[in-house]
Amino acid sequence: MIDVDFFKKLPRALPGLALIVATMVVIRYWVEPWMNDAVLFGQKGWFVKVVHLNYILLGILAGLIYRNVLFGGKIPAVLEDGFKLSRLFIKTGIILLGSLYTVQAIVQLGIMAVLLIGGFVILTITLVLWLGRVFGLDRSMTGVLANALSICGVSAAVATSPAVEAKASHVAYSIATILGFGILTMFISPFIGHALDLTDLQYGAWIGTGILNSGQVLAAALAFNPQVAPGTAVSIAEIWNIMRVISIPFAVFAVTLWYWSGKSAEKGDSTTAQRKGLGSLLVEKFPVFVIGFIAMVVLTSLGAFGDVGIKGGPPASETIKMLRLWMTWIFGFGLVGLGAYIDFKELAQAGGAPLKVGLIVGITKYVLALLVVLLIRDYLVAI
Amino acid sequence: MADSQQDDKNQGSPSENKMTLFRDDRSEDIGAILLAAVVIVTIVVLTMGKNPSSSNAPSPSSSAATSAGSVENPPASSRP
Repeated sequence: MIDVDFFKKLPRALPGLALIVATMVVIRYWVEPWMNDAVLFGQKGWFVKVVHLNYILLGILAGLIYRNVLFGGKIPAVLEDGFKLSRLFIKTGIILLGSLYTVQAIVQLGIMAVLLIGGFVILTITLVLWLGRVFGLDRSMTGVLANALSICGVSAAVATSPAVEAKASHVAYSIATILGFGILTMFISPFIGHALDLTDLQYGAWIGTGILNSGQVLAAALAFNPQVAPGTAVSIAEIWNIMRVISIPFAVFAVTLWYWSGKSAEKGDSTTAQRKGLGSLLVEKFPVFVIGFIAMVVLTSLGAFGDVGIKGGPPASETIKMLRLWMTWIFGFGLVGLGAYIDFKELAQAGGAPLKVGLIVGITKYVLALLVVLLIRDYLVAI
Repeated sequence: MADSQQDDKNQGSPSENKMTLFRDDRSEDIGAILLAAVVIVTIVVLTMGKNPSSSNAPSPSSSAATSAGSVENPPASSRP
């Protein structure tokens, strides 16, 4: 189970890792304090108060500039392995985020999240399958796009691809489409959230439902409110996102059934060789880092790290305080790496009918999620 | 199974394969769990003896009463 080769590759990752760490140190120790004090247009802290820049957005921008400007569109080989650790940091941070929740809070919030996320996943898949037929998309392309747009982008696209006989180009188109749309939403969502005066609860529920990619949900949440604590935007958005990630095997199963039922009808036979049962899909596709997140919630609920500092209760323990501080750094490292994986040339791959379907569904989901959250805001459960 | 027959044309985009130092997503998930465990153990050791005797886990009812975005303790600052 443990990837032994990883440890052999790890020394090669050190240069890239050093650049990521150095970038975040510079941003947090020098750039951010400077932005807090800088006076622009007669206002102190203009960058923070008006543009809402913070270490998360700066980290993503830094990664994006490294790749697309300084490195000319490709991360140099000497740094590449270090940047490949970005998703490891994001997943590790999400596991540690479990310390923001109690089991009771998860259950309370989870029921609403399951209903909302489940509804949106089903709605999105249905919409993509229908639009795929309207626009005459390849059946494999439609299947990949359906799960990429309904669940969590990149992981879902990759997880679905073997089940629907997708080519690498189908997955690349889907990923380029969702990343392109996701980057846009990642940067504009904090502004919309502040403009509409959304609370952390409403904002977290909205982007946890409406933004397509897990990393971008995280970035948009921390960009809105960089604090990591119970009840902040990141704690709400991530529990929504976890619910969505968990649904990957179920959505893969549903799209696989759709794909092969149509295929069988075309061939006039009942090919079953390529179908997989829900059980085997659960074993193969379940994102096991979610188990780490759940374990963290249980440990926190049992008081393993001391008091969590909820309102009306005792102050947070030193362990919890340090845990939250380290989380902000771990997320920071991950998001510098995420920024470096935004390749403008790759995004240009997206085009034609898949892009149209992606944009129609992406915008519909994004706007509809906001409207639904505003409609049900009185029923959203705070944690 | 069909997957193995189609490995050359499926298996995600090249860019996706480049995004991790691990063999696959599952290995990366396990790596994240191990790294999180290392972080937790380190923090617990570093803060050992610094925590005042606490009142154990927060009660479920009090957690539900926490309003969004507001914590009594200022959360870990966004700055170091």
